[in-house]
Amino acid sequence: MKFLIYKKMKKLLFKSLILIFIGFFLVDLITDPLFKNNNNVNKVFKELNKFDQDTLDILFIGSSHSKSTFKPSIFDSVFNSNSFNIGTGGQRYMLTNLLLEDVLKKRKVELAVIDLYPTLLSLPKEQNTKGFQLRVLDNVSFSLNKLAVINEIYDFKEVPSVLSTTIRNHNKWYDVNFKRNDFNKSFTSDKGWLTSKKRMNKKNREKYTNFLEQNRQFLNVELTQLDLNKFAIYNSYIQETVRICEKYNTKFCFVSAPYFESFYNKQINKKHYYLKELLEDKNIPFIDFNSKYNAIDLNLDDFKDRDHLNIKGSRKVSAFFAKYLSEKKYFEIKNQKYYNEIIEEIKPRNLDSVARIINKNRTILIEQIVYKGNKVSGRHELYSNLKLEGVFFYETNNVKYIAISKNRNEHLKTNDNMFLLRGEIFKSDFKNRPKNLLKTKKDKLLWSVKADTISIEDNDFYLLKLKNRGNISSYKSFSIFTFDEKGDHLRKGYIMKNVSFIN
Amino acid sequence: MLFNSLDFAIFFPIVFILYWIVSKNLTLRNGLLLVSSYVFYGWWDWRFLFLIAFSSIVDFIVGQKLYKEENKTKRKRYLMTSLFVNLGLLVYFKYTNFFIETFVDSFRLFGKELEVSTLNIILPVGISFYTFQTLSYTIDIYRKQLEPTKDWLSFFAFVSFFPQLVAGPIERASHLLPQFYKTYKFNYNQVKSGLLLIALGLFKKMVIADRTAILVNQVYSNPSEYQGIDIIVATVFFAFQIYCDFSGYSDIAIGTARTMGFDLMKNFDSPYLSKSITEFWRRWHISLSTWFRDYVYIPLGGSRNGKYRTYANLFIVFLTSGLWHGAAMTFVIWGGIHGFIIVFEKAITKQRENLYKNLNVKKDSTIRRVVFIPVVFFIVCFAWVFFRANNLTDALILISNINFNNLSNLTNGKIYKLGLIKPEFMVALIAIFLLTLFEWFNKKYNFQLRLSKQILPIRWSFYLVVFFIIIVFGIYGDDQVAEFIYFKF
Repeated sequence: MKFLIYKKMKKLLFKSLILIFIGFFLVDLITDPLFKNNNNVNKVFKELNKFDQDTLDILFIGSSHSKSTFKPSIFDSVFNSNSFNIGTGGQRYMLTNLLLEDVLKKRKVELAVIDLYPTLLSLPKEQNTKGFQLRVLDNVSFSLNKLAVINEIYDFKEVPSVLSTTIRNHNKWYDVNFKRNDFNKSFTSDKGWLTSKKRMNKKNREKYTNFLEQNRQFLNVELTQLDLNKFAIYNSYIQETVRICEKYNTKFCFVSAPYFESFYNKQINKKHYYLKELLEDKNIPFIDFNSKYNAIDLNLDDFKDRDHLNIKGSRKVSAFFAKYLSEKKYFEIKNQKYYNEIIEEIKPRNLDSVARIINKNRTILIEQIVYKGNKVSGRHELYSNLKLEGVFFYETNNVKYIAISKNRNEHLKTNDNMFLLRGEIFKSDFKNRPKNLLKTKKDKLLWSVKADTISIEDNDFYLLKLKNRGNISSYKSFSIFTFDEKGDHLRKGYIMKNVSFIN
Repeated sequence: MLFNSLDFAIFFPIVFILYWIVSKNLTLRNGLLLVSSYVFYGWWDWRFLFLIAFSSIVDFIVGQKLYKEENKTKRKRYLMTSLFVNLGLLVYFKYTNFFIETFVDSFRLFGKELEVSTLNIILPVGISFYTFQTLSYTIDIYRKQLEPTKDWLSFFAFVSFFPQLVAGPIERASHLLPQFYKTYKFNYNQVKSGLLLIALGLFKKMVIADRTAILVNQVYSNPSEYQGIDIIVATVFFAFQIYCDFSGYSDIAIGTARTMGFDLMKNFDSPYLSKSITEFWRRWHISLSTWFRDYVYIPLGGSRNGKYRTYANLFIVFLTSGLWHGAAMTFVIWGGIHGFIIVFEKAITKQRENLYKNLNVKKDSTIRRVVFIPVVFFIVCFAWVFFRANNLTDALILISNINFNNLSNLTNGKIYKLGLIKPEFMVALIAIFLLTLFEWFNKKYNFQLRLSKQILPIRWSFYLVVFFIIIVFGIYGDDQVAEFIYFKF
């Protein structure tokens, strides 16, 4: 009789376990993919999983700093390689190790480039920071390591929603396979790299004007014994990364992607310094981009916010890093011409070099060039016989110029090189207007300028000296018009927005 | 610990497995039930374990003394001790502030402002339930309808039995206590049946009750901002919220107990299909209404002392029942409305039956159902306004704002701005419809029995469908786990 009861209990337990297993298997197979966010990160991992090569040459990994800094196509163009950027926003370092090992298990990687951002070396505590880690966890295969990391980060009650996107996102059931765009259309992505064309807003540009001086302070840090004790745990994280890379025979290199906001935070500075010292002591390759601002010619225009580079900045750092990789013989340059072009772009500037680097492929510094009434990009036709191929603002010693490259064989109709400039001033900068306008509400200035023409090598330029019309950074939009034969300015002009200057 | 929580999802399988391992040994089994019940209750606040233990000790000793005592006066004293301790604790924790506020309000009516502040008292979860349960023990012993138990372990386990400890059904000692004296054989079909009932309870609670609560809470929190159909919809939704919340909990309680071989009483029997308020109270919270019948109505005299005394007794019972539900005037009014209607129905019983006879309308005829079910539902919903409103002022605002001026809200999309967007609103409606259909089908054809006769793939497909419905459409998550309404009692 006892035996019969136990047999029945065992039957119930067995059937229950099978049913539960089937239930969760079906959740994993059917509903979890439906409830998985269709965001940029998941798309990147899909792309990586579909990548049909067994070997990845360069793998960039880390947080959003890595994601916005390293553009794979630059490295691939220079080295004829295959690279990928699997940085994810807010990625904590324990997840970096987990993700790195997961990728290395699945394919060979020649070089792993691991970004170290000091604040992300600790456990996430708030709900939003815990949420960021899901982007990695959703794309890492199930393993005991994964469970261990989950156990470390999440409370017991949070675990079901971490493991199952159905449980996590079930309250969006009416929007199954919901499309969530993480970023707006101003963002550009490429094999995991993702950043924006935007430059830092005016308020922050003014606030952080002195960041290069701060950078010098940033590099001078003193650590106390208390700091050393507190940061000692970072050793184990770094060791783990080294272990993983050595296990899978992968070369590795740590980097510190540019994030100048930390210059203003003593704690982050200390952690950064500690890591730098730690890696140098152990002879582990480490590139600290935060101490190379001048070498890379990074400035405020290269950042979209305090922590992340924009397209322009990313291009510069990627070029610099490509140079480093070729000099250190990690990879051989296969496309010398392209390499030379990108290296040329990161050379520091003076007036001569400004003129020298103005060329067809020059990156447009302003956010957009708008042909009035229509948006166009690339070559812009201002007037039928004049093609303006690039616009570049340059400021030196309070003398303000606009340099406009032009086709040598084409001339302005007026032939006297007159331009009409119209600038719209930010309301917050009204006090910077010319004295005669201060008592008015006029926010638009209109004046004519006779442009000089200069020739440098094979390039010709119109050089418009702006004279004293307030600080150019006060203008939120700028229009340039030419004149017709009668001396009337043409109605069509370029409208340039978010004007800024290079120092 | 809530039934619809991860904690319970882990707690219950462990207890279930251990239970059946030790089930042959009565002492071990009851010990396990006692420990697990105390763990279950203490999960909220361990301090209140002393309260339930104290209550159990008092009633265990009183029960022993009461049974042995022959002297009527002494017997009454023992009973009074039990009543005093149990009701005293209940009154203290639940009604102190209500009495203080009522006291202050009554002086305010005469223009006098008293400077008396309320006390910071935490209401122990389920105190109203287990108090009534233990009282049924001492009262039944007093009435010589029950022998006391000498097994303190069984008694303590009976008082604290976790499936029904915090929100019923309120079991009679004569029904539940003897079940602790015997062991049970593992019955595969009984366990299956219990698990299915738990699943049904979770569906009611998580898919319907917690979903409708979103709309109800929005409207009832800001009564002056809503009019007409919005209030009607919110009130109807509340009717289903409270039904699904409470009956869902009861289903889980009954199902959980059933998996361990225990039989708990049925607590709900499709109450919204009632054709009178009298019938409603035979189908709604059956354990409470029968408790009040046996321990308040009958001791007051019941229907033995003439019709007016009967009406008074009925009214008192419902006022008390209202007060039992909550320490606020709105609950008293709610009880009063039901009491009034019941008295009215009783008063016109003869006339009504004569009318049906003359019209040749039979008791269970379709016409009576079609006419009276909606009428009773309307009355019940009207009373629910007082039950749910935050205070009397809100209740009166809601009542005064009920009209049919904005019926167009049902078609122009404004109804989906009450907290539930259209897809969620539709799920709520569909789920209510499915539940109604299921309950009708189950009553008529015994769904569980029919299901158990199907082949395994069909049975398992049904279980998986229910599982997926709860996982996908259930309202849950750290910020969404809602306490069962009746936990406040």
